[in-house]
Amino acid sequence: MAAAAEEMGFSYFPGCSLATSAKENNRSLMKVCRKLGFKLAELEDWNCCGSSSTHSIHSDLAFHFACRSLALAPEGRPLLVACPSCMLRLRQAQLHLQADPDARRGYERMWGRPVDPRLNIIHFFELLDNGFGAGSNPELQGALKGLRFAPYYGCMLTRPPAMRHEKNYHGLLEKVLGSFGAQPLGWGHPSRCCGTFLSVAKPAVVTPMVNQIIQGAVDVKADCIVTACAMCHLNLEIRCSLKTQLPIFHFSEILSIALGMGIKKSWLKRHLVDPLPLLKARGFLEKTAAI
Amino acid sequence: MDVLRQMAIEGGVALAEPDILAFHREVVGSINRYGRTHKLEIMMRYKIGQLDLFSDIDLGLKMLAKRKLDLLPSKISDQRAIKRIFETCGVNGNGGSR
Repeated sequence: MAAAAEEMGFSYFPGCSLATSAKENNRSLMKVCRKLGFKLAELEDWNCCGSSSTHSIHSDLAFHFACRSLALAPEGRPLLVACPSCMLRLRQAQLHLQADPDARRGYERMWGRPVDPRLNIIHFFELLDNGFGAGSNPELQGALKGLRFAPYYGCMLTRPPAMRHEKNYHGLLEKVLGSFGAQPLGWGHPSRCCGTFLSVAKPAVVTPMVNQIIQGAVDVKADCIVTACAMCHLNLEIRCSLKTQLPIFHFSEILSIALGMGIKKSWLKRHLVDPLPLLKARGFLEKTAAI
Repeated sequence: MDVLRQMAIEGGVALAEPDILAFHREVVGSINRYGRTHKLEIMMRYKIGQLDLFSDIDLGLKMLAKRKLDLLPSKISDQRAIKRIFETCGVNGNGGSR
């Protein structure tokens, strides 16, 4: 099971969603990382990566927002990012800095330090992409037994052209949670867009998109959807207008159950679609009550 | 795609969906004020700007009850750095041209 042979230190960029609307994602992720021996230190005074809105209307502004946070990263530690959207913004800024000497000079003028050529920006999934799973421990192998889930990646882990050579980690949810006994379901919507920022400005566009995704999971008889992205999680919860709704879990919450730490009630209370009946039916609640 | 959109905004092209741009400007405005996004304020300012005060009120209350929306913004301490970014890019507080 071990993901880290010895405790590894990371700077951690939570991003606005995990720091606010998806605190349950943030807290479960920190807990899982502690258990696996990854020591996270939140990047001091990080700022918003600019989100989809900034790069939509002003590329330079988006680039500089990402650069400021990159400039805060201490040397010698990888920068861990959990939000796929923040990951894209920070990594794209880094690629631009690597490719463009003028951009590097501007960065150095602006932030008073050279670009760190060795800064390794990694997504949370990368920590688990080393054969991590239940291994041969029979207790762990049955930790999620009975849970039928639809893996949902959204579209932010699908790489834009500048990142086309980088890994996108599709299949990881199935591989990891499957090793703990959960049953991943094949379905047609694992990478469908959740509607992202249109959720506020155009709910009439987003609701049918979300309904199609949820209905797709219902059709394959999923108990729940497990998401890789906090923003997708929110949209799937708030914009579904179907009579039948499904609990939506953050990957880190399910991992917490898988690793025997249960799922905290304070996380569950923040879900708009109540996951308690499902957790109770699958026998996961006993572990939850213990913490 | 971003380039075409930005050229259209800069060139003053009539927008097919001005409310989407209005939303983007609220997000950028929030980063300008706090260095981070404050979702509750973004949604409220956007809805007020669109004179659409009631469409998502049930949802907003539900999200508040579930603590999905923080009442107060999370701010960075070095606000001057954010101001410097806006100045360098030559844009005003909501990402528009100065």
